[in-house]
Amino acid sequence: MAHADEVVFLWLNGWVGRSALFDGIITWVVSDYLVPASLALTLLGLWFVGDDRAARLKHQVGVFVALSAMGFASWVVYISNALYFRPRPFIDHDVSILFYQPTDSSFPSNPAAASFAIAAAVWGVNRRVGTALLLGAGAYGFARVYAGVHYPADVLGAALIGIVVAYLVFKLRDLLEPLPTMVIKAARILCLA
Amino acid sequence: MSTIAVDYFLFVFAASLGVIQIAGSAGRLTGLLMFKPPLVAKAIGLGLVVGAFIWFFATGDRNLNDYEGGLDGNIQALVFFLAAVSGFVITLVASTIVNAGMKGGDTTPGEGLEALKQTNYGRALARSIRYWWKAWRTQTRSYFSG
Repeated sequence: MAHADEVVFLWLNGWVGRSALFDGIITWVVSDYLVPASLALTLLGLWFVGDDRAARLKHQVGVFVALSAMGFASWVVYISNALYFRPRPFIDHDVSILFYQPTDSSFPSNPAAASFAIAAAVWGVNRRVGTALLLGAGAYGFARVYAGVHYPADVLGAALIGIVVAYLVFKLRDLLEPLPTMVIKAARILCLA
Repeated sequence: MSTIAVDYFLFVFAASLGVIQIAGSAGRLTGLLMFKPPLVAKAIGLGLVVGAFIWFFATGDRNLNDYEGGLDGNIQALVFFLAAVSGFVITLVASTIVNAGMKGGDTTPGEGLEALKQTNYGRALARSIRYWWKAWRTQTRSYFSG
C-alpha cells in the first residue's frame, strides 16, 4: 500500500517541469494563502446570503459548523501527528519541489483536512457552494502532491478526516447550542446577522 | 510587521469588501451596497475579489516557510480576521452614507440584516438599539432563551 502510494506520488511529481504554465498555476494553488483565504472569504459571504431570514440563519449556522469542523479536524490531525510521524516525500525521494519544505509529519495533511472539513460543512447547508468548495479543496490536495510536499495517501486520509469530522459536527450541531443561537441573536440586535 | 503580513491584510481587506458587495447583492440587502444598482455592486465586488487575488500573488513569492518570512497559521488567521472586520466596518460606514436616503419605514426592529433590504445600516442599528433599550426587561429574557 505504502509502495503504491509512493509510485503514484513519483509518477505525479514527475510531471513537474513539463509545463511552466501549469507549474505556475500549481505554485499559486499550493500556497498557504489562496485556498484557505478563498474558503474563509466564502464563509464571510455565506453569512449574508439568503432570500429571507430563515435561509440566512441556515447559512449562518453552517458557518459555525464549518469553523467548528475545521478546529476539530485540525485537532484530530494534531493527535495523529503526535502518534505517528511520516517523513515528507522530499526526505526519502529525489523530488521536484514547487513549495517550501515543511518539517511536520506528512500524514495526514493538516491544510487538506481543514479545507475538506470547511467544504463538507458548507455542503451540508448549500449544495452548490459546498460542491465548489469541495472541488477547491480537492485541487488544493492535488497541488500539495504535485508540488512534492505530500503523498496521495496523506491527502486522501486528510480528506476522510475532514469530511467525517464535518459530518459528525453537522449531525451533532445541537451540542454546540446555545452558543450559535445566542451569538446570532445578539448579532441580530446589532443588525449583523 | 512583516511585508507579507501587510500584503495579506490589504489583500483580504480588498477581497472582503468585494465579497460583501457580491453577497449583499445576492441576498438583496441593498442597504449594504456601496454601489448601485445591485448588478453593478456585484460586478465591482467581483472585480475587487479577482483584482485582490491577482495583486497578492503576482507581487511576490508567497510560498515562504514561517522562518523565511511567511506567516504561521495563527498569525494568518489573526491577520485575516482583522482585515475582514476592517472591510466589514468600512462597508457599514460607506453604505450608510451612500444609502442615506433609504428610510425603511416599515421595518420591524430586531429583524437583523433583513432590515437592510429597506434601510441603511446606521438607521437599522439606531432603530434596533432604541427598541431593545426600551424593551430589554420584557424582551431580553424570552428572546435569548429561544
